[in-house]
Amino acid sequence: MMTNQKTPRAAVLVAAVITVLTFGTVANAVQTITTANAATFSYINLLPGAISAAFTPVFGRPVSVMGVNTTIGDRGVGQVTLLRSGIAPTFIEWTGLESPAAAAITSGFSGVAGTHIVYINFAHTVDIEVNTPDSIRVRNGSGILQSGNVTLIW
Amino acid sequence: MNPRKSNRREQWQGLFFWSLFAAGLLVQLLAPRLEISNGAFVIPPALVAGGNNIRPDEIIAKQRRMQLISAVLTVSGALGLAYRYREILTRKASRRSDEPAGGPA
Repeated sequence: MMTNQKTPRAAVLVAAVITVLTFGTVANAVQTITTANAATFSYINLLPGAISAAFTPVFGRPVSVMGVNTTIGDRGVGQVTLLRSGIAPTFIEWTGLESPAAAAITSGFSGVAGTHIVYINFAHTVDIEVNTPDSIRVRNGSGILQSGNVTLIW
Repeated sequence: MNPRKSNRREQWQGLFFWSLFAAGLLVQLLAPRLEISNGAFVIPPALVAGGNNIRPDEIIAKQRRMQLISAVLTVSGALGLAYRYREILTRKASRRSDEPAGGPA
């Protein structure tokens, strides 16, 4: 009799666990699928003269790239909308606004590594630049450690 | 119907639905797990630190694809298990409704 009473109880417990796991999985999937096409990354204590990892934006679609430098005393913000051509001839093309101070329009196109795209710090020493005809990177051209965030939306 | 055949079919059904459910959880565990903050996927600092070439669109697309597969497998498995074990699950409820309201006299 004890076994008969225990079996449904255990079954209900297992059913509850399955339900919780299922809802958890579905919740994860819904959150992932409904989040916009946006990726953000941080560069933390980027050494003087160092470059971050390279980012390859999606090709053939407008990509908004926004960067902030959060180092105290050198904070800034800059943004560009860029195009990765993706098909030969390959290059990165952009237009946007440099960081203060002296914010000005920045625009151009290039596939040459090291070509300046946009400054994202106040002193105009930290910038997003061309890495390859297909990718971009952050370079710290200042003499101090720099930290900040860059967001790509496409 | 042959009861032995029916029993074997039920066993296979159970195994199939458990496998489906477990596969869903496994895909969930193996899927790239990017944190979502302020409506954007956060690329982990460890990935940014090296000289990697990161393709956010591909990472996100892979995460979405795997999460979708995981959800479909898990939900299918869970529904299948609920169907397979419906008698055990409903037995308790029906037994409860059969019991007298006031308990033993």
